[in-house]
Amino acid sequence: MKTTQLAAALALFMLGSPRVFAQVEELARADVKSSKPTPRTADGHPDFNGYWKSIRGTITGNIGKDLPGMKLPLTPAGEAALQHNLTATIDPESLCILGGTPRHNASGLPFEIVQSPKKVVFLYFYSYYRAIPVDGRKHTDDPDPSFFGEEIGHWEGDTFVVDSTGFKDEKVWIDENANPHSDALHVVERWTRPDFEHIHVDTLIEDSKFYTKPFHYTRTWILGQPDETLAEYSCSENNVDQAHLGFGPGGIRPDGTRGYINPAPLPPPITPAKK
Amino acid sequence: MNRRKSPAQCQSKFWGSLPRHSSAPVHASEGGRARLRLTFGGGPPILLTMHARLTAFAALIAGAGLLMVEPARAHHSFAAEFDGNKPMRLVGTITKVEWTNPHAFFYIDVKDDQGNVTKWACEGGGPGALSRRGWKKGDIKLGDTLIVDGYLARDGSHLIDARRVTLPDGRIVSGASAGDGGPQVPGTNP
Repeated sequence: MKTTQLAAALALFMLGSPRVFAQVEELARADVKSSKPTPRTADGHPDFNGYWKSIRGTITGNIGKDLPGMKLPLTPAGEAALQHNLTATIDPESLCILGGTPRHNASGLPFEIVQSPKKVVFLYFYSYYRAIPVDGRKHTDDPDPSFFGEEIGHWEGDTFVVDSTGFKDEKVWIDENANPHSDALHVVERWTRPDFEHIHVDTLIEDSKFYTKPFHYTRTWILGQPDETLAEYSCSENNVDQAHLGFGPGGIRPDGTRGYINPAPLPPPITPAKK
Repeated sequence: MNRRKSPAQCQSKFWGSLPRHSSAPVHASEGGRARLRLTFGGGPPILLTMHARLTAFAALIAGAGLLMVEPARAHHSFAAEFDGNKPMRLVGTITKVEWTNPHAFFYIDVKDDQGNVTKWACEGGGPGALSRRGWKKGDIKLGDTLIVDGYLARDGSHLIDARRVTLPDGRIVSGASAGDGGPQVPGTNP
């Protein structure tokens, strides 16, 4: 075998080798076609228990990803709130403040669901959670504002519906890109598990102060490996960045995700001398 | 015998003044078969045949390709803290290691040609992210020499986002935080 062929074969081997693949899998997983049906709990509902990961290729961090041109229907007050977030606020999550709903539905980070008949709990990467009661209760008249809202769950057939109101309006970004929401936010999530490998949400977002009309955010996640689980994460353990972070999310790239645009190249890596 | 230039000899206005690397790779020939001898930081030499070089190169390219697909999903945005127009290379000895969340930090003393020491903080991913890339806490120790390539903090402090780190044993690893929207780095482990 020629040396170049061997090198190519070895490159392909490295791509497919469990060690490399596991490291690249990291926080996202390539989509697969599932051949197993939806698992169910003892009471007959779809079972959402599992470690759920982003599907490779999903546009994450952008709550408007399903809209034409990813353009959010902001009111003038919403535009002003966006400018405020971009120019005068540090990303709340980077300050170890809860991202809340619906930001976490747009996050690229994995999460776990622990499901019981009367409570469905979402466990998030940064070691916090939301616990959704499923006991027939109604919304209170004046809930204390919170980052995840006052969330109430109920079943409609095989769909788990979460209705959330009573949101905070300070130190909140609705997504990674610093888009805003007000205390008028109302979120209705419809969760399904179409097959063994996938979980899906249709998130309806309405906010009469900042958005001219309701809009949807839909997302499908894929099941992680059986031994995958969230690790401990203490956000304030050593948050050195807090003193150095600037305002806003940084640049928004053409694909709608935040990140640096056209960075200058690093020095070339140090390589062995060639004969 | 060919001796490649040290980083100090390769300085340009763009990279600025950097301390001299402690040892330069040396090319040697043994038993009629061309081999490369790579030394870093005073550690034992690593002998690489042509076959091994091509394998490593292919693996690096494969790794680089895989690195390119990470979308943004990190604790904070790279661009909100670091300046992608200010790449730099630091060579220094480790004085402190913080293997913590949200980010691991290691602190290095960088000495210039006049012997003046500047203290730098280098930010990596969280411990889980780094260990997934094959970089364990025990891989670096106080007194080790590291080569850190990354981007300078926007606020001008001696803080660098360590996107590529050359370890004392010669391995080159990505120190970047997973999916922070920062530049992906060719030539590092996936």
